[in-house]
Amino acid sequence: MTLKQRTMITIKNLAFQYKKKKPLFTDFSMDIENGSIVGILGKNGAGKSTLLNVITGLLFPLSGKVDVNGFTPAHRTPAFLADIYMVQEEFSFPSVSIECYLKATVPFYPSFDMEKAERIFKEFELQRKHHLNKLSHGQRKKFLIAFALASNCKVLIFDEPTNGLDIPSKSLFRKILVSSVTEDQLVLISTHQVKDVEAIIDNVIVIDNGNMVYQERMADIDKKLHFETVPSLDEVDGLIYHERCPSGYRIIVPTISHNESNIDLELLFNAIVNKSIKTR
Amino acid sequence: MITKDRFSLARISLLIKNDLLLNYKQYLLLIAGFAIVLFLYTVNNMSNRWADSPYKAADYRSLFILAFLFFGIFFGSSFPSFSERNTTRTYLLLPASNLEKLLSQFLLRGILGFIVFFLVFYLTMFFARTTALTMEIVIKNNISIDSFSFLDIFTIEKAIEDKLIAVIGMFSGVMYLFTIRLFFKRFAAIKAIVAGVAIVYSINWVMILFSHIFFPETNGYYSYIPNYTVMATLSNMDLFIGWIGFLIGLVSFPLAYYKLKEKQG
Repeated sequence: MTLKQRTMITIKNLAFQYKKKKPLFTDFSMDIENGSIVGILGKNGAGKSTLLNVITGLLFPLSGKVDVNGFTPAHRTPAFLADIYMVQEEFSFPSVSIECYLKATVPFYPSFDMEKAERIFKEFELQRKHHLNKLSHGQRKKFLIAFALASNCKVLIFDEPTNGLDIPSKSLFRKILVSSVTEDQLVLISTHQVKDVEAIIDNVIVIDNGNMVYQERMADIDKKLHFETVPSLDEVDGLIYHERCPSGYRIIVPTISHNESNIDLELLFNAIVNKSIKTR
Repeated sequence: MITKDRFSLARISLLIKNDLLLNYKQYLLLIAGFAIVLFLYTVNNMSNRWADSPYKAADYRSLFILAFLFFGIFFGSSFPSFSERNTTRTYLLLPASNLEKLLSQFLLRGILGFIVFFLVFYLTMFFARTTALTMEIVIKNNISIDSFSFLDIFTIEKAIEDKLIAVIGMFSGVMYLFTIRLFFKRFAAIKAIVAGVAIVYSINWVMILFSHIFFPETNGYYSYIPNYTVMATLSNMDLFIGWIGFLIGLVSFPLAYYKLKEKQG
């Protein structure tokens, strides 16, 4: 199967600010194509969640152009909303069972796959008879993740998806996400828990102070940067960034040969926000 | 698949179904609570009469007005998701247009709610009378209780203009509560009533100000409004109140649509 790449999200010169606060975005631009799982990283207050809310049409930009899947999100047209699903960091449910919630909400999503939902429910140990408000926070989050994946929306957005999940659930989330997403979908994951998602994302975007300071494919990062642990910095050539760790130093150096290394997203993120890596 | 871009009756019915499925427990509790309180109040009222002061058909009217106020509060509590930030976001992201969301709430709470209100009110009055008539105190005091009919409530010895103004007033009142709900998050209906009282007071103060400007003989906090007949039995004040009510009803829906369209999560 060949993947037909197309730009799914285009943001040009976005400006946004909350009332009585300083501007969060003044001239933000980015393009994202489908067929990828994109990790949006940033410190607290960097504007990750705000950006996701602008993409979904929950917040309106002051100026600039936002195009998502061919729609202007702020118009909130039914066709746009039927093809985008966001799992929010914080959420509330009505006092009903999963069965009732599905009956009330599934008809709005024409591509919803009930068999897929059942499969994911089973993996997450959720049952239709479960009452949503009697589930733990983590279980409710798992339900939302299952709903999002089964909706088969073209754009799936997860805001801090691993918050509140226990360790086995985090690993299950990664497994299910990778196996559920198709090539015509785009998944945006906003998180500051980079370790939870570094194994599944194939694109990284770093936001700092309302600007996109870094956007790179994981494959390209591997071609440019090499991550390793060394006992001392004495014999390291071309050091880009380092951090102390129990066994010495975690370092980033330029990739010289073709020896692959596991990308340490947390180290990379720290290098970017500490301006050790050239950004945009 | 529903493909119509901005307006689809199928999607409106889905929104109504969605609201009913997610909130049916609250609705049933509300109806039951309303019926029980109304029933107990009415039975108590009926049994506290005497043979020379029977419970007349007109007595149901004040009860109806009181109950209608309750309906107004219910109508003014539309968009239940908007009381919380997270549920507001979920509702705004539900795949339907703003117009469809507005219409679904209007149809569910305004039209369907009004029909249910009428039905519950009628049944409660019927059972309250039936119960009261079997009570020992009612039999002993020989209290006569007129049967309930909606016709009696609306058959008032007043001119057609007055009746029209009353209907416009009721309609604009509930439309005001429905619209202003979108301006507030929590306790919207109560805030809407407080805002309504503030508006009425403001109008009164404006009238006092105008009275002092145009009729310098006006004293203190009184407003002077010359009373004259516009046509037949229609006075200038009737016309003024009617127009205000009509305008509120007229601008309510577009204003509600605008507020919903501009709502951010």
